Amino acid sequence: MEDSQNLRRRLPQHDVLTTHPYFKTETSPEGLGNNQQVLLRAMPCSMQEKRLLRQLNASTGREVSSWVTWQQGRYRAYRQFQEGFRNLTRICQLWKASLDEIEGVFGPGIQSYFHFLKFLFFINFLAVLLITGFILLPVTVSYDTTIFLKGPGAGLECMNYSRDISHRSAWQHLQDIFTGEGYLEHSYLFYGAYNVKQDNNRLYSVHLAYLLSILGYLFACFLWILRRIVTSLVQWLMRRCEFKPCNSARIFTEWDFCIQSPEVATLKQRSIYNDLKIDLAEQIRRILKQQRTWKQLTQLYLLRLLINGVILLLMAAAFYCIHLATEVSQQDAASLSVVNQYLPPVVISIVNVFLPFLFHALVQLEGCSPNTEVNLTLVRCVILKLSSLGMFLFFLGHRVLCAGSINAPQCQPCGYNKLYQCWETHVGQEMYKMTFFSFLTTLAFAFLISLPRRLLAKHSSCALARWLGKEEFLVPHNVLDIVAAQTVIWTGIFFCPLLPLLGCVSIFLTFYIKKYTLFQNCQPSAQLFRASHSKFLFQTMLLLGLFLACTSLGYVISSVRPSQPCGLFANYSTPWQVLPKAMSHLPTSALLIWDYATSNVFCFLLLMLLSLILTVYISQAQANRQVIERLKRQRAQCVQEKWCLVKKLASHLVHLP
Amino acid sequence: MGGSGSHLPRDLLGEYQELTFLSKQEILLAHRRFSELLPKEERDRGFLSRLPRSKILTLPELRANPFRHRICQVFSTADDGEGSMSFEDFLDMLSVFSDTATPEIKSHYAFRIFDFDDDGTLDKKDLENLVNCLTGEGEESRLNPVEMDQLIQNILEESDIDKDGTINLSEFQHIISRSPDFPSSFKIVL
Repeated sequence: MEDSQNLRRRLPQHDVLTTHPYFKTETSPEGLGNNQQVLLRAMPCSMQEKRLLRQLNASTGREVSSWVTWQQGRYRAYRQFQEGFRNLTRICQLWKASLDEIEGVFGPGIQSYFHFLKFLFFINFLAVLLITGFILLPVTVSYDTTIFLKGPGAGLECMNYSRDISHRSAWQHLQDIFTGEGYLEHSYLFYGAYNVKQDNNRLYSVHLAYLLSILGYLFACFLWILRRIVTSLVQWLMRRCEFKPCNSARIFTEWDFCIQSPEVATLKQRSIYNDLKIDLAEQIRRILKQQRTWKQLTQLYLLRLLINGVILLLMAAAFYCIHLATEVSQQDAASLSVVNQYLPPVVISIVNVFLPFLFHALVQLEGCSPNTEVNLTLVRCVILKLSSLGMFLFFLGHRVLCAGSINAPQCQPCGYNKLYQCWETHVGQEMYKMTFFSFLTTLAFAFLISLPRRLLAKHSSCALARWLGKEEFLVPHNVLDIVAAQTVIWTGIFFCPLLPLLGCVSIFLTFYIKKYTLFQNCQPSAQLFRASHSKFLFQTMLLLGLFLACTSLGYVISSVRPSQPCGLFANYSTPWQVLPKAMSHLPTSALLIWDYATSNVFCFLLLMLLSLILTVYISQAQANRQVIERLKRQRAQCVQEKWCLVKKLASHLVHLP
Repeated sequence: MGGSGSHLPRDLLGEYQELTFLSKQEILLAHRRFSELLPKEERDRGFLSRLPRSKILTLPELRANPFRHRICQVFSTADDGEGSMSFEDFLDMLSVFSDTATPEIKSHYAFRIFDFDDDGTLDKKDLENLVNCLTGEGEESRLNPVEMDQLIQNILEESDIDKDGTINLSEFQHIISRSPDFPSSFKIVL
């Protein structure tokens, strides 16, 4: 008993004994078996004290029936089973050890990049599963794909697609790996190899499966990303200034207890110091900002307008370069060298390496706060990267599909440029090249730039080398690269169904290359990066990429004439036509329901319902906010009253004899 | 385990599993790491021997942590106040810093670690110590007094809900509960 008094003496300041649910005696004896251990573990006291508490609880007259003992035994067995199962799944978890290691050395900010890689790996893996299951297996097992189809009423002009690859030399075969021509062109890698005759007697239609599995996959990606955005949005909103205590949360939660290396710890301390300094400076700055005169304000806004104009001009110049590169790379595709074919991805990469430097220099003239500067540059980089991709797609579409110039002589006979007889495969090859190139750049950056730079920084003593130093691992820019690569994969999935497989392999290798770069050649960036912040940012970038891919794919599927000598949709006026045709085989009752579900009335009802639900949620959130405010005020008043009473009591005590 | 230390009895292992958030493997690993730090002749005495603070701080998991002294202080059950740790104290510490520990218990111990004078509230002095730990001990990496004052003023303004000039446990837990990064960063894995 002496011990228990000792315990009570040690703990009162933390109010544990009175408030903890473990001591609420109304727990039913049946529930005790499970709850007791869970609660004991969660008690904020030391092992000896926990043991004592257990004894105390057992001796306070509660009889332990054999039922309860049995339950406890069962619970223990269940826990052991659970742990065993968890151990088993731990083996299957991809990259668990590596991720832990990265978190231990560099903290969760950088780890989030690698988590993102893992997420993208799974996204691509899903695509590989879907496409193998629904398209590749049925086609290889039960269809004969050697028959070449003939489109309805197509002239010879649109049907001369050569499948002969016998005259290619060994050197060309090597080149084919990079360009996706030759043997690869007629493999299941590309759209053009899926030559399947429409057969109404079969229950399974590959045409429908091809369209639906790709659309369904994109929709699944959308839902998956949306779910992740919503969870991270909640965290992000909490960190917004109006909602959260900015400084205090930072002070209390900033330190990473995972950090093990002293150098990283010093770096972290420096970055926290810088961050606090910046924040305090910004506070002063905000006060100064309110005192600016009209003249200063107009000057500032004019300057900003000018800088934004310059940035737009730079971007336009970049787009023009991409346009030129696309034109050169598309000139008479047969006789081009590999280097020329790779021109567009090279130009896009160069633009995206050099323009961000200029953006960074220009933003410093704008007179924004340091945080805004970083965010503004990042937003501009995102816009540049995705729009340069979009521009490339646009120019490609202009060239290959004659979008906007349908009356040109080479476009009229087939409805697409007749130079590209199987244009889907051609576009697929472009996407293949882009994916391949992005992996090559990752490889080249790691071994041709980061590694020499580290060696230079370590062994050379010249001023330039010291100024350059080791490379910093910039999380947002790395993420941007990988998002762009994923966008290409999504765009290309229709033209090159096995592109996600290539993506899987490339991401798998990228993980190890980046890990090597991070551990050997890099230092973590001086700029802090919070895991919760980054999650939202990454997912939003990814969603933008998905939208870009879906827009271009939507255009192709809904309104472009498929090429006539090859592919699944050669007999249709657009790929989308497969769906209405398949629908027409359905029974009439199903058709009626379908008609109703797609009618305006139904959409209107749905819209009404959604907006009603939204209104309910919004008003609930507002009400909650008001209650929080009121409770805060109430609490402050309570304490004031308490102090008042204490003062009164003190004054009365003085007057006592 | 081999010759690195004595074996953990089965029933004790079961009890540790019940009373902490650690799995069997983690407990065994902790025991091995703890035994390695003990001097040779004390290894057989097993659970009674205590490690002095200087020995505990040689662990790479704690070496770089600016709060390492406070961590030892908070988890030590020794009466001398020197921060020496028994194996069970060590397990308590790992349990709180483990992946599976609840956010409540994590924030509770975070509060005790940040409460430098052990008086149950975070006052200005505690906050100043905390900020100094975060920015580093060197003279050039400290905030100057004016900035420090401004910062502490900001913190109190934001989180001292009852306006009594200090931050108590519930106010602290309130702030922590809104910070999504906390459970993942308040973590030490052997």
